[in-house]
Amino acid sequence: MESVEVRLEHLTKEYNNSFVAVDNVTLTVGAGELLALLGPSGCGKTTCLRMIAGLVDPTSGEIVIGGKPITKTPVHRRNMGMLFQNYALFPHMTVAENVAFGLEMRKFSRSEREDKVRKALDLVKLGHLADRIPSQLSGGQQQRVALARALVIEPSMLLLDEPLGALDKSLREQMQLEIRHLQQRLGLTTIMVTHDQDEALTMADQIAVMRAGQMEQIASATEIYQRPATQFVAGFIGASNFFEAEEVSRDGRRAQLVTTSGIPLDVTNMRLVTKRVMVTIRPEAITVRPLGAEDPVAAPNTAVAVVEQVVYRGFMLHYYLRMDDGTEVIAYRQTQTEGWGPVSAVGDRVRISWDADSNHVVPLVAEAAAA
Amino acid sequence: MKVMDTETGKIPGTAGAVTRDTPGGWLRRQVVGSPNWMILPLLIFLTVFFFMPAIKLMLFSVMTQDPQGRIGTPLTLSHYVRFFQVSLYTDVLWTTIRISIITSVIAAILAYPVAIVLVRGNIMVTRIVTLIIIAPLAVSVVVRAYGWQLILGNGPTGLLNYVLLNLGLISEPLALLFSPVAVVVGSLHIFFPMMVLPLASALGKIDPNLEQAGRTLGAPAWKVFLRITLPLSLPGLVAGVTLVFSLSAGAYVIPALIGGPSSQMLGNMVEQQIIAVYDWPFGATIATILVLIVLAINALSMRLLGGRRIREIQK
Repeated sequence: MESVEVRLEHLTKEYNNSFVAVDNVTLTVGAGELLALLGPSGCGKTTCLRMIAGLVDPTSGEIVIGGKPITKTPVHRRNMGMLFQNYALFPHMTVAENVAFGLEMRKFSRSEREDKVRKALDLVKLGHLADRIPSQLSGGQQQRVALARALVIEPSMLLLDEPLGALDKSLREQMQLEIRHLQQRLGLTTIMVTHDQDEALTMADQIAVMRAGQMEQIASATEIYQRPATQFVAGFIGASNFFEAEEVSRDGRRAQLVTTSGIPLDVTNMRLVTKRVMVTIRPEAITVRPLGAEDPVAAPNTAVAVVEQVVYRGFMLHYYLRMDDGTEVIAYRQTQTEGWGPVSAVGDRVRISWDADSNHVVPLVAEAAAA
Repeated sequence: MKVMDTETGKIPGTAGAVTRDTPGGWLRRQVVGSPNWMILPLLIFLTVFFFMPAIKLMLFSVMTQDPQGRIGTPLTLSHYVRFFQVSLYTDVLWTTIRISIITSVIAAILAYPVAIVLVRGNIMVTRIVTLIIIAPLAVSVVVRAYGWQLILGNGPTGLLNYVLLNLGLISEPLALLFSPVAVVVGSLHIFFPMMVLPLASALGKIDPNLEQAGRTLGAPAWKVFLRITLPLSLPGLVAGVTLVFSLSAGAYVIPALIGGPSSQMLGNMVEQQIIAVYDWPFGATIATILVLIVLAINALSMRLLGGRRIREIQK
């Protein structure tokens, strides 16, 4: 199977000339890559996927696959494999008939069909269930049949519409790895829609975060987690602490900032030109220590807070803290971590601190909206 | 499970202990516990006013009527023999079956697009279409049949002929009224809701994703309809065809008012035999044959609906 590059150019979908579901989206998925469209429900990610499949007509823009524009090609000639959230298996056909459907439409002979169906079912380890009907299968098995049905037609690309949403957690994680493995082995360019950030981080080469029809950021998993472009991305993927801050001095990329509540911050990567910014700090970057008598006052990147709640999450402890000015802070601590000192309890006054490298600046929301 | 245990007086965890059935417990479970008794009034009504007369009528069909008009023994099958031996009667039987089949087939073909619009169309369209389908039910069959008389009227003054003549589409007026065509048209109008409603209900149960999955797998729209929508809507289609066939086969008013002599149906013959000829046993025979045809169609549709694949669809 030859891998193809997929490009969306200024793709827009307007409903009834008023509601803009997808607003001028441009992105490129490299050949053989998996891109996850991630965002809250109603952000336009599913509409985007359906436009690529041909199930929704774009208002404007172009979809280019392997260099060929296909925006005007009807659905049934696009040769795409699509997986639906509820599997969408044909209930009146057996597993084998379901998988053979696409081959029948492509006018393969009976013997070729049988051969390809067997191979496709073996690929998803379901060869023994060929004669069952879908309702006799478990959710995981049904999604595998759907996968076999989508792959058997040797599609030019794969579209996944929240395909694992209906499965329970452990099965979902297993299927994520399985689909990812198959996708990489076949070199199949794939676009996946999900609202589950873990799923996106686990499976995707590139994550495209959408919000209200617009693209917030497209980047690799590490990039998007460590250097979110906007406050929305920082809050949507993983948890973040936010501090509104103003620049005091700047020396190249290094800068001294002070938050609205007066905490001085050292920033090593001041990538914005604006003086007022939002600083985001990941909860796992924050260290919590009991407040000592010799405590240094007003050093940069530290603050005093009160423990409001401690949640035990297995390998992690989540600390919900409140600073003296009322700002809430979340800190994660690995259960076995050394050097955090004694475990703090609810009501304790603690000192929180973090590295200058952990301060990540994003535009203030008001300014982002104006831009 | 636990409730059952307390009801039978069995203490959980003491298997094999004495089972004390409280007096009246059975009755309470059977009658008070289940709401089945609520259909009793209807059952009594139907028994007195429907089942008993119907059974009596069927019994008439194997009895003899003496010159004084008294019906009784000896029992005989001669009326049935006569029915199937006289071509006048078998002709009417075939006319009835033919008109019913044509009506249900045309109704099914017309109903599919309407039902699809009902299910998938936007809310305003759905409401208007529903109104158009339901509204005629508010008008009596007799009134509607006379309406069709005006529209289909033979000669240049019939509404349809008048329009077609003036449009220059025909040069001679068509003889539509008092023909099987008129009966089919009238029956279609009256029984159409019975086809659309079950069909729309079945189509509404089909997950739109299935059709979209079919499209992405390479099926053009018409193939998606044939391979996915049509088979999955079979329960509705079978129910609709059964209803329309049964109702058309038993029609009386429509063939009487717009059918004319060439398209009399079994219902009209029953009336003739009983009211005009005063031959109760033969009238009863024709009625029984009509009932048997309708029962056979219903049994066939039950069988179809009981098939494994269709049961899967209905899940």
